[in-house]
Amino acid sequence: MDGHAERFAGRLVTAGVRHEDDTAREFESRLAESSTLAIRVAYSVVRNGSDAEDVAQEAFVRAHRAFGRLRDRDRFRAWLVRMTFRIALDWKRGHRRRGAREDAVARLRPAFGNAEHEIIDSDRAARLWTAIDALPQKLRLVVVLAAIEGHGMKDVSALLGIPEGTVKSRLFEAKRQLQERLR
Amino acid sequence: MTEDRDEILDELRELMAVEPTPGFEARVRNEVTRRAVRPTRPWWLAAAATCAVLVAIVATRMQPPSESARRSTKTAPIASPATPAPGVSEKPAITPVRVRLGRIAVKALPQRVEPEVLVPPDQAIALRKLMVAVREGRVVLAPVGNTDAPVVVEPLPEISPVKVEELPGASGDLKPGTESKKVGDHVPTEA
Repeated sequence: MDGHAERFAGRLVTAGVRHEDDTAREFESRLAESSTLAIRVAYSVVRNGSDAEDVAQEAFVRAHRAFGRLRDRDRFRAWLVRMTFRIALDWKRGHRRRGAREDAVARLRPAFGNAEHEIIDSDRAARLWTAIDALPQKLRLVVVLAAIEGHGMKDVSALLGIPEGTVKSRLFEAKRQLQERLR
Repeated sequence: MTEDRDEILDELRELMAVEPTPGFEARVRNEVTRRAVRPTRPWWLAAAATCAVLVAIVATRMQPPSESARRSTKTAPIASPATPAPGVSEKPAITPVRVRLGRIAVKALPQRVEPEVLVPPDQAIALRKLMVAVREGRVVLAPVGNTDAPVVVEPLPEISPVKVEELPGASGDLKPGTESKKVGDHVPTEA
């Protein structure tokens, strides 16, 4: 190999390494900014912090595989939300047979020192989760995403890829159904 | 009503206020690396193994027939046993016809060096001797086809002569009233 070819090969290798570095850096950035979102979406289905992390992790691994077409930030987050939700539903279906799990709500809610108060809160939370589970999927995802801190209508619209008006109407309908079930 | 609804959203927000554990990102990174490395090896191995098998199959099919197969390839020279006539080139006029047998047929054939013998061995020796003799001029085959040679005919068994008696009325003196008699109506006379 002559000097020119060597230089060319060296440049190719450098470009490849640089490309890999860029990809890794971009993925790191997406991971840092979207991990809370993924975990909360997963948690809304599996109701357990540890399981929610497992589900989110699986979603990120799959996202990494498809990262070539998910470089855009909004696209990545929208894809991640859908994928996490789907994996969480599958996970829940698969783990339902394992019997009663530890009540995640009681575990995650901070203790107020008053046992009676705690039981009431826990009961209220369980009823709310049951009501959310009973919602149709499209309403459920809207209400979960709207409940995640910092998400406005525009964010939910971008995450689900639907118009803002549709988000508003779905959220209204979801809240109405929840109110009825909690009454 | 609106307050109630927003209260529900607030409650839900509070219930969902989970944060990733400190090691979460590191775990994801490890898992991504582990899975990125793992599938590549079987993929490469599987591809390499498949290629090797394909190459082996193609090479086996494409290779020329082996020495034994070549030996068993039928060569059927159609050559005249007689010496070539004077003035005719010594180069054989008819080139040997090679018949390549299929793989299965070649395997089924016995591994023999000499070509298949179509005549019994003793007769083949006699035939070869005759051909050599004809070539050397010791035996002349011309009288075989010569018709001038005296033919010895064995006497045939004696045949007794046949007596043919004259039919009545064959002399032409027909009686009146016998003209209408057909030929088929004739009754053969006893010999």
